Amino acid sequence: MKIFRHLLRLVILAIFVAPFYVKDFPWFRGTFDGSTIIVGDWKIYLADPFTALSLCLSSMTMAQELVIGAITVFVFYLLLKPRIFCSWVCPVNMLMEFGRGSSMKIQKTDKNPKLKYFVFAGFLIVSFVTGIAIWVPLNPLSALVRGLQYKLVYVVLFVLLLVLLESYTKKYFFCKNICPIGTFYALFNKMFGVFHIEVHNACSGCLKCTVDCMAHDDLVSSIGKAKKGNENILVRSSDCTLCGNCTNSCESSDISIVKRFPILKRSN
Amino acid sequence: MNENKEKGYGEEIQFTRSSVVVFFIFLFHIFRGFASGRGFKQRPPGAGGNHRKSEVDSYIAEASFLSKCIRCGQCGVVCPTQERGEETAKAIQFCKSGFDQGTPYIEPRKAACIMCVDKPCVVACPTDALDLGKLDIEQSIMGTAEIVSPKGCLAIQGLRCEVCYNRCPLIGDAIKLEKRVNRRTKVHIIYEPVVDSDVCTGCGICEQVCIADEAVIKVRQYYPPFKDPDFYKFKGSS
Repeated sequence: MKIFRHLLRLVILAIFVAPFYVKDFPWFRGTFDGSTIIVGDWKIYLADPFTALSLCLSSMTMAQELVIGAITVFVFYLLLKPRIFCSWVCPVNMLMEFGRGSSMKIQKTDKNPKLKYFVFAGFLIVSFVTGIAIWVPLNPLSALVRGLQYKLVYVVLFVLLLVLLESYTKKYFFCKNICPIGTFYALFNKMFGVFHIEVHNACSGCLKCTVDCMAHDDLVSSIGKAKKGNENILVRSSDCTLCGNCTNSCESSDISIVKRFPILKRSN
Repeated sequence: MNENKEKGYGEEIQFTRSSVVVFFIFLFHIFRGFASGRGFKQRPPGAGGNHRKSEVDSYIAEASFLSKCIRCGQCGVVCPTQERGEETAKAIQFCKSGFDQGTPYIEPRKAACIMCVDKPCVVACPTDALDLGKLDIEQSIMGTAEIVSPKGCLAIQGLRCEVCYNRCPLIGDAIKLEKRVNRRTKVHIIYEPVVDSDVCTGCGICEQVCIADEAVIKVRQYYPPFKDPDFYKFKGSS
């Protein structure tokens, strides 16, 4: 699972960088903030939903292509599961995973789980007040892509600095609390999506799956529910990125990825 | 009586100069300095919606451009490659560091905007940061050319250089040649290149082809002319 994720993210990163190293690559151009797929005369616009939102706030206009692209991307993730962007697409998250390594500290309960929403609102308010989408120059995702595209050393170093901090703290701090792209998807992550993590009733409660998990608290509480009520429980968390670390680490396969229709489902 | 009136008029002008409008322009100065780290950066055509129909002050156009640009780099991908001897270069480059890292700009001395008729960068921009409406590329304003050091200009010294005049895409309109007598010899003529900022798009080809060691003619900020002649007039001072 982990290898598939890394491969997919590398392929996506390669597609972004390819036009600058391969001659005659006219099918794709752009960064994670906004890009275009070109098939013959057809153009498919893609854009990052949070960037589009903050840009609409900063410039007080609705740029047509940007909004179309943002809605396309947003609906795509809404159907699958919003936060799979983090663990299946985002290259910074991949670097963070390499930085964290395999030896994880034992997670503690999150002291301020609402911090990310305040940071999210802060980015939007600042971009509305100052008239500059403040996330756009700070975005390490497209900064990494741009650094690889134009061979900008400092930009890549900026991203690597973040990774270094992450490898020191090992607490998913940036991905969980700061990055507003993830928070934007997290807003919809509990309710929407086809794919979910399910804890089975036979779970022994060893909590090995919670060691390398971004949604540590929610996973612990759902395991507690599953053991208490002796039933299968879907993990509903705003931080679950469907990375599959829990299913890999479980020895008795009591936690698995399942498909559940309809996608809008409030409780079990 | 008459003297007193003149004095009052002057004071009023002084007051307006230091009033809100100038203060805001000053704010834009500061903002621009923070934003780029240096004075003027030539943006691709239509940046911040600056064209002949909506002649915007360049600071305001820059602020509007920075609020809209998502730095996706698509304008740079579609910008046609120019051949400079053995090297190739694109007109649109990207800021490498600082706050506006990743935003497109043009360095005319390396490669100037060649004013493609189908304006691919404006079409490729997904956010209307580059916006020309339905106007032609000739209607865009990226800046305006200006002879920054007339002493170094060969044409003004009396030689018939006129490279900027001949290579200008709007030949005869944007750069005109003004004839006057060479005062030094009193028999020869001087063809002085004069830029008409109402026509010049600021593409920068003149800066690129200027044969002096450091370009004599450069692209500078465009300030729209005052459309309202009574802007500084007050009712009390008729």
